[in-house]
Amino acid sequence: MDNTFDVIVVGTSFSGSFFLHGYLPKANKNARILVLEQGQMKSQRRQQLQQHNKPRLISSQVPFFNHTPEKPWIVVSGFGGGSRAWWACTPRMMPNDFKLKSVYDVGVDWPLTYQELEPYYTRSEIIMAVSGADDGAPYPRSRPYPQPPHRFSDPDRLLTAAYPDQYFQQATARARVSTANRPLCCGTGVCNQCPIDSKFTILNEMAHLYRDPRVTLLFEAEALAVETAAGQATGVRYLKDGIEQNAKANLVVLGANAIFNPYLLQRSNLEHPLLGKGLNEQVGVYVNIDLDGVDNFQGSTSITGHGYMLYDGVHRSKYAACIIEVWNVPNRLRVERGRWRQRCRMKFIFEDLPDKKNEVKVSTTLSHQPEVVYKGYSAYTQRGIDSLPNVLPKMLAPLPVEKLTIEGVTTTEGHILGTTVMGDDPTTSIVDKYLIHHQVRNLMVLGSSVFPTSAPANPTLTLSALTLWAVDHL
Amino acid sequence: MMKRKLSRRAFIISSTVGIFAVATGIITVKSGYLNTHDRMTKTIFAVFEKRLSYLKWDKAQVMSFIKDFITHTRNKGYLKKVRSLSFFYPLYAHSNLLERTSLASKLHNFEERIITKFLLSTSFFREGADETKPVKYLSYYDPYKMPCKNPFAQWL
Repeated sequence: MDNTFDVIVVGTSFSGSFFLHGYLPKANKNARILVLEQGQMKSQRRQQLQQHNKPRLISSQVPFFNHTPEKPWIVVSGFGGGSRAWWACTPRMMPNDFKLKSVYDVGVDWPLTYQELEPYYTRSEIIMAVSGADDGAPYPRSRPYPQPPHRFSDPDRLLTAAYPDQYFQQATARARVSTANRPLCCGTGVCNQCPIDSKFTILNEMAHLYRDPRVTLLFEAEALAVETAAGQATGVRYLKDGIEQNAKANLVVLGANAIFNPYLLQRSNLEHPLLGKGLNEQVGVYVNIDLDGVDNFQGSTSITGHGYMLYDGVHRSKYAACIIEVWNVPNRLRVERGRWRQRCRMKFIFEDLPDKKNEVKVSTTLSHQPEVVYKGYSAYTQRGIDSLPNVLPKMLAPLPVEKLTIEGVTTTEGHILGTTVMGDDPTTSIVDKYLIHHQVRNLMVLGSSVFPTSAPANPTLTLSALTLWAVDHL
Repeated sequence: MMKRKLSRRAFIISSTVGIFAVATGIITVKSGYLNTHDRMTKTIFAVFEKRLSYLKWDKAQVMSFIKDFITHTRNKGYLKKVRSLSFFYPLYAHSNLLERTSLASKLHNFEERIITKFLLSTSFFREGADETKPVKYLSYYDPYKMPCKNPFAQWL
């Protein structure tokens, strides 16, 4: 096989696939693109059966050494990567998330603004056929959502009446209307492995990109390092069928994740004091609310509402913002006669600030594996969590709350962020605002590893939009 | 060494204790308490007697649900908790003493889980939560085997 290509892409998850979506129309008809996927191609059905037989399938499937296993990091290998296991929650970040330092003197600013990214958010929402509120949004939008909003439950209706500018139907890629490839979401409530394939995944909506004759897709091909010479990327060294191979290319695109992106750069001897540092993700807290006289679960999907009441505001100079998810899954009804459905479950998802103590590095014992060191989330986040007992009674006053229970912190939000951050200053960031490596100018690093701060919003739509933005500026 | 003679009083007391112990043992064995499966089944069934006595359910159908609950692959992890709770079966089934102990919240979660799974597996919500109608066990509620059967979801 001729191992010379125009582009090599590592990974087939959102960033790799959105890269192809943006790049293929620009590439010439004879272009050669190699895509390396560490995992296998698995059908949706097979995946469901595995989920059925293994209640905890969604754990780390890819070998990396976790020094703190009590803090899991969810990595899903195989074609489509994280899209196979996500819940398809697609809020945008808020404009002030991009300028946390300027506005609140906390964290750092992103090197681009919300306004710059807005057209790419819109394009990503069209690709994913996102359903969202049709009568407002917490952030400025240039176009309506492609799909109408999901149906609210009754508690949602009370909240949106009380907070018309801060409470909306969740923006989601769980179909409100059938698409050519996906049926309408029927509210089954097990979205990590949707039994009817209703949520957007790379498999059901973007697999055609990999059938393009210009694309060569290799499964079970583990990228080992980016090859460089004279400050330029020359290709990728990878392992296939137990044999180390080299592929050459003019452009190398890393679209792995925030554990494997920095690991590959470290193995490529592209050292930087901040490379791999600042590993973080959002921190979730469930709150269980027993209601007095209001039934729940009439919504049309698993998470119906998004609350922004504790998101942006002056409090962010002191403690972390959070986005509120209101769940519509009847997996724990009440015992009391006639009151089975008078319950509402919410998740308060707080942003975190990156901390250098949390890092990814090449394992000292097994050099072919990354290792993760996590010391914990920030005091800024903890202060946000600690604020809940004070703020919740007032915030939830529109609901007939009978009993409020703040549960513990969740072990993971399933996101991995911040280990190859973007920025204008090469001394404090790994890639520039167009996601090009500061030193190796034909090396692109995609995905949520480039996020300088986490924001409370789920990262997938933003990382997809960033990918389209980066391709447009190639 | 001097032999102590057993007094009549001591003999009666020790005999009574012995008979009681043997009787308890026999009852325990006969009742299936030592059989984990039986004990779990009875503990789950006790939830129906304690919390759903106002509904018209058929015992055979409930036993069928319990069997499905215990054998369902996705409950494998949770069954460890059920097994632990089932050691307290006699106290749970025949008294409210456990409600004032540290087990209370675990028992409450257990009851919620059983009742949720059972009601979603039946005709109850599909027929408007009408307590006067007999509750029919349809099949074990598993979104992977029966997608789109959430009885509450609405689209209009």
